[in-house]
Amino acid sequence: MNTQFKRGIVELCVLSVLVEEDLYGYAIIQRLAAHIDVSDNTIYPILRRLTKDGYFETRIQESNEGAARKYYCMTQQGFEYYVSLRDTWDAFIGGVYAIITQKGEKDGELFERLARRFTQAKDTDA
Amino acid sequence: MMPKLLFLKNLEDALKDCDIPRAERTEILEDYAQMIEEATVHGDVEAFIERLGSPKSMARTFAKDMPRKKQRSEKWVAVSPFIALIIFFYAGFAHDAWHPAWLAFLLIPVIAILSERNALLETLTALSVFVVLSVFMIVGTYWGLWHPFWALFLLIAGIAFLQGRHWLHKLFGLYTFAVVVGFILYVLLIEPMHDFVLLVFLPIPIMGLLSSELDGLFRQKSRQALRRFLGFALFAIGLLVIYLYLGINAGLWHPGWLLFMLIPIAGLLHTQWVEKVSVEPVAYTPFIAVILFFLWGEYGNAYAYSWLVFLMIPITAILFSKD
Repeated sequence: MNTQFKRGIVELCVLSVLVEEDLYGYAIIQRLAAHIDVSDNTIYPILRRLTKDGYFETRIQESNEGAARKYYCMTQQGFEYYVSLRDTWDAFIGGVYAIITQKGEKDGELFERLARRFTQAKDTDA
Repeated sequence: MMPKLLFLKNLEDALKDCDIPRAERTEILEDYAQMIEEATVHGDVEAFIERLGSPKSMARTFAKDMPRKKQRSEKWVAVSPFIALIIFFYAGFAHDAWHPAWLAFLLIPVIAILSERNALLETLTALSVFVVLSVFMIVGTYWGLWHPFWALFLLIAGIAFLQGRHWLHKLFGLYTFAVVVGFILYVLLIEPMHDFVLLVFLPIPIMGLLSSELDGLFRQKSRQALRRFLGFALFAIGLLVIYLYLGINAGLWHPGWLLFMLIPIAGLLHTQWVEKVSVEPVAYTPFIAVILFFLWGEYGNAYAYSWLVFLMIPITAILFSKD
């Protein structure tokens, strides 16, 4: 998948996770890794950039399980950004789905027709 | 070394290489240390570190996100072909100095490198090829001192040594500088030159090999780095031997030195095809242009036209621009 495209999606995912609750870095990465492939190291740099842009604030909180944790909390600016990004995404993905599913039940018939065409083309070539 | 410490050490090195400011580095390393600590508590440390990806790619991502004042320098990059052309035509028409005025075309990659605003040593390394070539051409053209000034090309390796972190890297760099300066002075001041003096250059490729092993102590991919350095060292030794043979036996100090242009070309090909890191086609053009310029100019007796090959630099830049 295109890196920039993926970064944009991961950005929305990070915002979506933190709109629900304040979380620390490790938990955010784990939460996202449960659903999408994050092996190319995109989450923390995005988290850091969004924090610098004022979309998150951080606070340090002691933990019973080990070292103190840095929690990321969404700001109002971050929430507004999330809403605008989400609107854009919904409109875009809605459009994409409309295009690829508009054939609806005709899909089967279409696939069969194309398969026939490719078979005929192969036979002609041979 | 523990996976956590090794990862943080590699990340710190990679961040330094990408010129991330110290305050940023400290904060990034603290955050990663904390996340890895958390992963350790959950018994997930190795999988987590693997999930984080390579420190190099991480550092590059941070570098991309760093605010840069690029607009102005990008304008200079865009205008550099015209500046080069003006200098070239002025020197050519007004002073009949088409050669070495063609060196003005090297301003194009030089300005592009300066505009990248990388770390100082990284910039110096990238610039060294062009600075050395320019000095070599001027000294060779006006004073006929192709030999011993060909030794300047070894300074490129010397600067690369200085980029290493181990104190031995610095020592290798200083040795290379001392040998190059000493050799040039020796040949200029003491006649005739004894061929055995050339032995002082022998440790340089050996240091190249050792240098990769020192790197291996700091980085994980020591075997890969060793193979790369071994390949390049053998390649460089081979070229040096051929060059010395051509110089001593056939007096081809010039244009035999063009052989050394194959080293950066091989480096770029290796980066592109073996390391699978994309290289802009324009990166090849200064070296190819220099080779074609001299071969066409020298053997076709056409220096009046051969400068045209330098136009391949801006043309390639425009044709393959991603913007």
